[in-house]
Amino acid sequence: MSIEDVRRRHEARLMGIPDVVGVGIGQTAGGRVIQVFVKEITKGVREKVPAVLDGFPTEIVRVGDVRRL
Amino acid sequence: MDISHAKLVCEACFLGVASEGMTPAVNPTVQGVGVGRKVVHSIATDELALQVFVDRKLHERFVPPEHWIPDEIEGVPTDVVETGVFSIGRRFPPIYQRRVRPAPAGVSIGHYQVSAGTFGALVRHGGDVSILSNNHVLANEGKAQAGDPILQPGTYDGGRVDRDTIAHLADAVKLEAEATNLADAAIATPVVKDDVAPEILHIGRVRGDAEPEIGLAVRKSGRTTRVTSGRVSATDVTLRVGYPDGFLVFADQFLIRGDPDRFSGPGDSGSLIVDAGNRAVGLLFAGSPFVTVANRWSNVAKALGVKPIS
Repeated sequence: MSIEDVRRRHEARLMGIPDVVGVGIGQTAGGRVIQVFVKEITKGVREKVPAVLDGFPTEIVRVGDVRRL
Repeated sequence: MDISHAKLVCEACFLGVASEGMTPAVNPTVQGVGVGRKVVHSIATDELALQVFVDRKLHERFVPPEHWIPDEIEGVPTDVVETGVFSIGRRFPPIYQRRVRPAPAGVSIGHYQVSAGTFGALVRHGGDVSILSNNHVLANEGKAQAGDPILQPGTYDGGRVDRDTIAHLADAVKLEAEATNLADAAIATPVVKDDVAPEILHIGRVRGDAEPEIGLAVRKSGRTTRVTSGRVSATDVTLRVGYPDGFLVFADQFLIRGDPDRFSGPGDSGSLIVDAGNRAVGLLFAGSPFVTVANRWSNVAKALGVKPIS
């Protein structure tokens, strides 16, 4: 499965976690990761977002309060 | 001779600044006082003098006696210096927030019931030339009617329907509350073709289009933060975005992080995002102090049936 497929497969579940506002694909020094976007990084989010999804690492990313500009 | 005491006397006599043992008075021609070198025949001497700043320096024949400045005060010589009237610089808005004809992309625009956003780009729509921006800028989040006046600048920047109508709303991608959205986009038809220009202010002409890739260097020119640069930080993004009536979910978006500073601010909505080759990659519509969110260009182009004008 590609990272795009894995992201899509877990999207609904990840976005159901309180404080999670989105998911996407990003890049770290180690390669591509599934980014989980949150308004603020909380203990609850850290506990509920798995570190690895179907072999691809996740990264919790604080995006703040995203509004139309 | 005590120059600081003489200066206090000056401030009391000319500027009305109260000081111990002095009766304040005002000479309306005096704008300020200071200390500098006495100037004789345009050459600064070694002697210190009180500088009295006046709005206009006139021949003494034209100065009423009550406005005369003595040659010396408390034994200190005076110099009368013409400075004009000091002010805190009257705010003159930047071109991005003014009425401009022909209007280049990048400047303030908006539906007559919306504050202001950014004129993103001129696009080709069938045989017509159209103004592209967001639905929430040109179509008031779906509350507008086709044909409604679009103002440049937007109302927040002083735009008025009678004077500043540059276009009429033509079409908008509907914003869905119960389903995922791909684009916050709309187009408007210019009233006078020559009142709009195909260049993006300080960026230039658009040259075709490209897909956003992670790490891609991008720029935009927008009403509030003007020209900024950044990099695509995430693609394939599904995100909840705050609107006045609640959250809307957008899919297939991409995120940008500003480099070195913020990429966008309120009022930049509708800006076209281009790569280093001026290829259209996205339409800016949302953000936070940390990230900017954009619709993929290909989704905007498909939803409205438009092409960039190169």
